[in-house]
Amino acid sequence: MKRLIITAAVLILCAGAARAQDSMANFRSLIENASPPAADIGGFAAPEIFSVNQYPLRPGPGEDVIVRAKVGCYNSMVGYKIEKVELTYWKTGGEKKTVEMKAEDAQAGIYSATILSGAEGDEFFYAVSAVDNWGAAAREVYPGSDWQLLMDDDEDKTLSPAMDVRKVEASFPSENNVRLCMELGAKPEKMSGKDLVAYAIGIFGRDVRYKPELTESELTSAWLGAYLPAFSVSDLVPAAEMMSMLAPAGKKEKRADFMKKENRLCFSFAPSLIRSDYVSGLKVVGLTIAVNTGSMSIKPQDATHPVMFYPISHSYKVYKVK
Amino acid sequence: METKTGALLGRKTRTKGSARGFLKTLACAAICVAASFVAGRAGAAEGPLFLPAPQKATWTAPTVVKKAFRISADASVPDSTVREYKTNLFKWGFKDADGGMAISLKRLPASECAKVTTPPYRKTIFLEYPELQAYFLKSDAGAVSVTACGEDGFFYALMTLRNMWKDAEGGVSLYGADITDYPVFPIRGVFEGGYGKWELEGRLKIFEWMGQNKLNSYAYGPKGDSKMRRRWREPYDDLELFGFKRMIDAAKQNHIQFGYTIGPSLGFEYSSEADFKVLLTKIRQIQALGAKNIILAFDDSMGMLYYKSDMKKFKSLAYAEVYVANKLNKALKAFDPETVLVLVPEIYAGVYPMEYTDTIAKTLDRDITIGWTGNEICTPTLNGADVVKANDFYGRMMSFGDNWGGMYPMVGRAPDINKGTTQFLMNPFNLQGELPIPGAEGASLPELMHIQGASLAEFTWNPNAYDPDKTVDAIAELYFEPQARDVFKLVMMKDFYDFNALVSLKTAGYATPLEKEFSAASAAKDPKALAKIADRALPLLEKALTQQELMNSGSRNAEVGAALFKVVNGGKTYFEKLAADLKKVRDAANANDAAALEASSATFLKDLKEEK
Repeated sequence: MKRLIITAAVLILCAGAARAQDSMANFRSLIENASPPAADIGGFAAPEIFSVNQYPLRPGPGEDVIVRAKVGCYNSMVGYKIEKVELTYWKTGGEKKTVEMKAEDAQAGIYSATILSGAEGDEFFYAVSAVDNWGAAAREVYPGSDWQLLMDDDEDKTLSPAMDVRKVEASFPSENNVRLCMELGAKPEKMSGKDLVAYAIGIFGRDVRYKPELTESELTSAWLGAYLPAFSVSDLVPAAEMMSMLAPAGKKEKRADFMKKENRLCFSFAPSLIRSDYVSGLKVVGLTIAVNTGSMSIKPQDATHPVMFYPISHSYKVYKVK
Repeated sequence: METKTGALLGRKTRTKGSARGFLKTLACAAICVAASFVAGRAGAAEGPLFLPAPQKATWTAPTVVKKAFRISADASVPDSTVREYKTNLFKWGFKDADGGMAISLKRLPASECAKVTTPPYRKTIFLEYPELQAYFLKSDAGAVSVTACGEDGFFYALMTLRNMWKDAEGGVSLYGADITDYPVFPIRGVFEGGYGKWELEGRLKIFEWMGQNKLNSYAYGPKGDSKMRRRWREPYDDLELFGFKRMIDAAKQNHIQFGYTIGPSLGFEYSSEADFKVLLTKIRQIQALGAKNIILAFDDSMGMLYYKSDMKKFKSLAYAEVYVANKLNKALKAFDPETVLVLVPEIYAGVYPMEYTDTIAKTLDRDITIGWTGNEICTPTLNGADVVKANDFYGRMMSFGDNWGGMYPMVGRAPDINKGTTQFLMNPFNLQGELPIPGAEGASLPELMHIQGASLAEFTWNPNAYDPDKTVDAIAELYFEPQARDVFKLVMMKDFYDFNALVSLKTAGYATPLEKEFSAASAAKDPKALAKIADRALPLLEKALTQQELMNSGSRNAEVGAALFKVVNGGKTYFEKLAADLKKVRDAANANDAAALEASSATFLKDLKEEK
């Protein structure tokens, strides 16, 4: 019986949180009606950093560099607006500076900031981030072991601290490794009352972003960095393959390393698993889920605002060509 | 002196610099070319087969090393280059560990690489500096050293390195090599300008293929994108922009400069500020994503002055188009001074002095280049003098876009075209795909670029060593299993004659190997030779008649095989006719009937070339 319950629970989970959206109309309504601070998993709208470019392409000594970002909110589909765009930059061995990027053309979503000139041999690195007026964000995660905040989430006193997601962070230690961590208000628990608990970092990597009639396919294509403490299982899996996490035999090689320390849950994996062109962005949501073993229903407990993250490196070295 | 004769075989040949030495070199060149023709461009014993062949390469036997790498980089090497190497090596399954390839990277000043490269026609933008794309690669028992002068050069060395190893027991088998390499045309690439439209995913894969084949320029201009021409006023929506973002990201990863075309002729009020703003806003959508090349296309549109305001303001259509182009050029450069604007005028081939072309030549800003397809829209031949003549007339460098729509490797392009331009783009509209054949959806297939673009990669990198026959052999070996190669070559031959007949390439003066061999034997009235050709070709024709599916099942790349089969499946009547003709030739030869042999040979040649 217990096995049956587990199987059923996982089956529900296996469609990811998406299965909660059992009708397109419902989902569409969530997209269209979500408003701050609607931390509902249906509101998957996050801004997009469409591009980041520098001018000139190959700066020589003494040349300032303009960094331009084209940032958008898919305004044709959701009603949010970009609120702030920032540029973080640094020189090898130097301190990181963060400056606000000014709107050159807000309607077209073009923002810019200047990095002052360097000398021959200097190497500069930079990354862009943007937030919208709902609180969703888009962030470029620069290479290195530093933990970079993707999204924080206010304390929710109505929830058990173990079900309260407080933030999601990322680091990009090497070209084939990304780390995503979710921090809770307390250590993870196996059960919440009579409900089974599941923790997941949802990663959505399909091209379809916010077109309501297509969003379902995006949801069912989700990957989940999932942890089910009651069964001590964890892995990064496509939503449709969640069952494999509990498969008693023939276990596949794990796709992600899982680390748990106090109230912090982390997954470490190759981003190319999710999509080969991961630099074009992966959308992340940290969420906690309760599974009612009696009614077999699932209930999202908490979710962060979604964040688009781009494991990408922008850098240039100053040298003379001409 | 040093020859490049062996370049296609990955060999290097050296002789002394005397006149006798020069003659010896010529003789050697002839022998080498003949030998390589007979042997095909297998190169397996000499070095790996890949396109484009390096300018100079000496290969030594492979060594087995662990499938691992370590990278050490000189302080002058950009971090982005080191990351790029690691990303690709991880993608190929290598681990960051000892015991495998020990890769050392070093950057030299650009002036050092300029010592080996061919001086380009001009150096206006960074892409026109071949020295930034040059590289030196040495590999010896797992020690790999790469020296380059720019990020592109490092990338091209990496793409060469990609072809130098194969999985083997105990790790990888890695060729030893000493390579000096650089492109002759600094800007080489694809102009997607046909009447269909490649689907996005296919295009992204082609970007990867372009990077691997060292092509560095792509211009988006499919007429199947209605927002590019008919509905040019409509901005791209967010999802369409996301598609462009993915394209531009992929282009950057593969060191490809992305260009965007817009054709606003329909209903454009040239003198209107409002219309200009609509045009600029539309272009800015893509320019802000990182497009450096903007192509303003007034071609194939029957443009005219529709409005009284325009008729009042401009003496002619040319003045109106130039007015918009010059204004746009300034606006685009104000946003990004590195932007290059290309104008494709109503007349975009040949050199025809008239009010329209004279006005453009005299009044268009000098830093705007002109899109030009050569002597004709589908130009049979082109050489450096043709381009220089057009440059002289228009007072600027022409941006050459070759409407080579066949799948057969390009012919009739002289290696000295680089004397008149830095760029060579190909519009790979597929002739058969473009025709309104039911089911073909009016669009060429991006997968066919593997075949269509092979000669583009070969020619533009190293035009002096380019040989279309050997390129066919190389494509056959790279993409098809041995049992499918003959059928592929025959189908390519048919494609050449189809293209030749439809676009009148007859002046190209090129003959396929079969035509050359047959014509020579026929001219010599040599019945034995003709019978021998017939004996050899008949089984192949039978194979082509009955086993065209080999192009699909015998392909080493399923997508390429399927696309090729879809487009060229057919030709039954053609091959049947040739087989029947050849049987007559053989019978006449065996009967020693000179009159019948002459008549049947003539018929065969006529049918081979599909002459009506």
